[in-house]
Amino acid sequence: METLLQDLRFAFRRLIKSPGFAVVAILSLALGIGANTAIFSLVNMILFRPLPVPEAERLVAINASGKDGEMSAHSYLNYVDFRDRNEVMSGILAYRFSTMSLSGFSNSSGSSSSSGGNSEKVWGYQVSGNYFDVIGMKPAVGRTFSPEEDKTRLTHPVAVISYSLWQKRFGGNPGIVNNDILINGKKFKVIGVTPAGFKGTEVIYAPDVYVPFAMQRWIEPEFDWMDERGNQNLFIVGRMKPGVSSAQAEASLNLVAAQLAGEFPNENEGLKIALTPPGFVLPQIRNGMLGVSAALMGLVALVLLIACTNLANLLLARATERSKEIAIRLSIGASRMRIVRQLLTESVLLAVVGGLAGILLAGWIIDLLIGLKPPADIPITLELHVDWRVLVFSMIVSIITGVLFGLVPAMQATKPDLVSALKDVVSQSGVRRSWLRSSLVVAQIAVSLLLLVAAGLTMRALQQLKTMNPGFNPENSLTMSFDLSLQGYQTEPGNQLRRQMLDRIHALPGVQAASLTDFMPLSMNYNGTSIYIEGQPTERGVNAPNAMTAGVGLKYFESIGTPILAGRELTQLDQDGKTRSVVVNETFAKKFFPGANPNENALGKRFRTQPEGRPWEIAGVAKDGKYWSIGEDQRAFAWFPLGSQLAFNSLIVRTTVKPETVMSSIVSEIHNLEPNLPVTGVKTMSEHMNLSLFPARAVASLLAAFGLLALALAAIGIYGVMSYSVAQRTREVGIRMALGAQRSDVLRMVLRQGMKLAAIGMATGLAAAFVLTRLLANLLYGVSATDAVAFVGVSLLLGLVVIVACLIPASRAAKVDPMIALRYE
Amino acid sequence: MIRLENIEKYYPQGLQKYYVLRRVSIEIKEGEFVSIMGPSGAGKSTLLHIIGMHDAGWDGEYYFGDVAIHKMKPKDRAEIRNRNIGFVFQSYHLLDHLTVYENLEIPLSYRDVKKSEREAIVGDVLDKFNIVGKKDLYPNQLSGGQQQLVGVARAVIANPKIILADEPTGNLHSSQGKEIMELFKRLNDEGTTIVQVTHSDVNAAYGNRIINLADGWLKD
Repeated sequence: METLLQDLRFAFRRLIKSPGFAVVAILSLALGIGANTAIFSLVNMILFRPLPVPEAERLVAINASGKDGEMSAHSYLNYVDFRDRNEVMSGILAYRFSTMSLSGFSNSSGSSSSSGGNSEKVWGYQVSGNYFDVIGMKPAVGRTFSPEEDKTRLTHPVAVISYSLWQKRFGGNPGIVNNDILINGKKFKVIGVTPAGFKGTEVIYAPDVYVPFAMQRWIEPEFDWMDERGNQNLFIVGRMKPGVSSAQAEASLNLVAAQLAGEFPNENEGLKIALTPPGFVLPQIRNGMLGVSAALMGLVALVLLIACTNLANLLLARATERSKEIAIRLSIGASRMRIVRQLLTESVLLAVVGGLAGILLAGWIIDLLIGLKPPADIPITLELHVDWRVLVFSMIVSIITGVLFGLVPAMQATKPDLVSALKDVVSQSGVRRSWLRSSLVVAQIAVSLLLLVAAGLTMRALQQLKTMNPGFNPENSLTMSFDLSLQGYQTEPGNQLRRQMLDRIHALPGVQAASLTDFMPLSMNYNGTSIYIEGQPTERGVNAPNAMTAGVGLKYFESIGTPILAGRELTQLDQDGKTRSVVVNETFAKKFFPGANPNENALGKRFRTQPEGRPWEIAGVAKDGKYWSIGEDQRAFAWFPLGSQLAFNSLIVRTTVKPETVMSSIVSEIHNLEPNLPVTGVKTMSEHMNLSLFPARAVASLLAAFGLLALALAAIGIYGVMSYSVAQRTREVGIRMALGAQRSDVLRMVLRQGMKLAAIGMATGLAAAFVLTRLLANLLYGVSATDAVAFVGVSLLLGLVVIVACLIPASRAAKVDPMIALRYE
Repeated sequence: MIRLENIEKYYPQGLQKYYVLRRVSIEIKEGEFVSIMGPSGAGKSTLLHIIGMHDAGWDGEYYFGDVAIHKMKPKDRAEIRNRNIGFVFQSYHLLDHLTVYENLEIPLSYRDVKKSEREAIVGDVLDKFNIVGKKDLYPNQLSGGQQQLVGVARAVIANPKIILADEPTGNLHSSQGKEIMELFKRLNDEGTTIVQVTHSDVNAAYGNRIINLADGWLKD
């Protein structure tokens, strides 16, 4: 211990005495460890950090799955059966994402409060009455739901609100409890406020309002799904009884699933249960995020590798400088291990200081990551922070870095040719070290090139996506959303208002067509239904084939710019329900009516969405497009008449002028008709496309940042090695110049040396990139993993940076005064 | 104390060998003060480093007391060296970033001497060499003579049986050189065996025997 302290003291002193070395080494490590810490905080959030609730390890997400293994949600009736029939859970809760229209609150005497205001759209949950009990949350103010409040329908209009809504909207007024707020125009009594930071059962979604399922018809006036076993739209989470393992719980719940499949085969045939950690709606979302995080972790590990190469290189150079000191130490009695320990203490100290600086830097990188939010109006919050797990990770990485990358230089340094070192003669070990340093630079350039190629490819993919046809025409069109059902509109007044709206919008100059839909493509929104084709054998329950769906109004296809390839658009008769017609896409036609001409084959054919439901007839086939994400494979899609559905309406307007110029007139027309209607998501369709481009843009931005970081580190690395080499060769340069070499000869000599290393590194990097970039294939949206533009462009960029990094020491060498150099020791 | 028999040292030069020491056989008794002399390139320093066990690449037999050094592994040789030999170098070779005190303390630390004992020993040596006032200075704050004084103090601090000195006064003024040589003489009188490499007859005169080398061969 005492000698360790002595080693530490000496290490500190040495670092202070070599500030240049210390700063470059610490900065390199800080960048590498900082990037790793920041990305690890993402992994930590997804994988390790439990939900901030008591005994979170006993909470599990209960997912339904079919034969394809894809996880899905549950119907309310199934939820109730799982809740009541299981023997392994102390409680099972259910929740459903919901938007609500919130307006101010009134006190118990009914008079309106000044804290209120205009209605706004808020995101919340409809939850089972036991939601907070199963989670184990104690409210900051008030109470949570009692069992009675979720027992009978529409008898207990109560709500729990979030701490942030309480602060933001109601100024933290403690009088909020037992007072009414207006949700969708109906009075709900606020019974409690969640504690600050509480987000419920999801990790990246922050709901503001919680209401019990019993009030569902006030929240979604147009939908009645609670009594339909086929309507699977709830997510459920259970708390395992103490002593029950996840495997036991899964097995037991699968027995209930088998019972349900037997009792209700139409809806539940093939139903299986899979338990996963809660927090990400469905495991595929967690897995997707985990996949991206793992890829990012791999990339930042490469950045760290480059940073560590810098450290190893600096330590090797320093070992050469210190060979005499080490020889002295050995000659006065130090054992080799003792000196290795001393040198390792120095490298670990450097790495730990670099790690601490990296943690500070990570805070800043995390802010940047949090800034990479999708442009959607859903309240997504990335709670990334440096907690104890992240700190432990960073410190472990730092110490391993210090030991691993300090060890080789230390081992090299402690086997000097004692006699030569004590006589100040350059020995063969110096030559060995120089070879090792050059190899490290080659490796560094190779890894940097690999990262830069990856960045280049993702940027090319982003370019490609921007030119990709989404199946509609985003030019000269705009969109906005509103929800008349949340304003309390009933069917007929609502329909009338919409007709008036569309008439007025059509009359505006510059408007070509306008229509309504309940589904905006590329909104990260999924509506789907099972498809039972008339006359074709089909499977039931979760095994039934499915298609994505939308409800669309008149002139939808003209407004959004999707061509009808066969048949016709939906008509007023369809909208009025007098005929049951749908339009499907090409993939739907190909999937269910294969043959020489599937589009024509599909016309007039009929299908159901429930085994015993009324059939729909295919009236038209529209061009394929992208619906969930821009990079997706083609999916089957069916457009149904929107009819009188007032909820989740998006307006789509095609213009003959720049859409921005008519945007405000359209919003004004809507507010002229209904001043209190919140109109959200007002944007051009090109802006709307940004959401679908978000994943690609985020990946490209991150990769570009890591690529540039790698480039900077590699530039520092090659600059360091060339500077050191030039310093070592000062005497040689002096002799050459004394013998008649011109400055240009010296410049060429140094540049040649640097470029030789760069060429080997780049060749290695290109070969590695050629093999490894295939792993990125699913992020490249059709761009080849060996895209020549990316490979050549990046090589030129790296080559240029290497030339600049070599040019500085080269010009320094060219300025050497032969007389001084020949006296140089 | 030390017996070398037919020591040979060479460097390969292509297919040939370039000999720096040829069949050198000498014996150094305990308490002797021996000077190794000869022209440049004679192999003096090489011989000293072989005796000091810094150099392992040689042929022949080397006995330190009864111990056959030539049969030992490098790690075991280092142990014998640390226990018995102290070094003094021409260019002092003090550790630049350590104070005088720390330079003296570090050989003891490498020998796992306890801190309290180290303090006592370093205190004694500082006192004995009359450099107590310099203990907190760094080497670059000392004159050449003072640095070499610290070099000698460092060599004796672990109480070696023999001190090997490679031209210890080579970088010093004559008066400083004289002071160092008198110090060696005193140490020798107290019982420490001393082997020095020197070009100077004056310095050699402090010793009681001279070993002459020329072109790697021992001269009578």
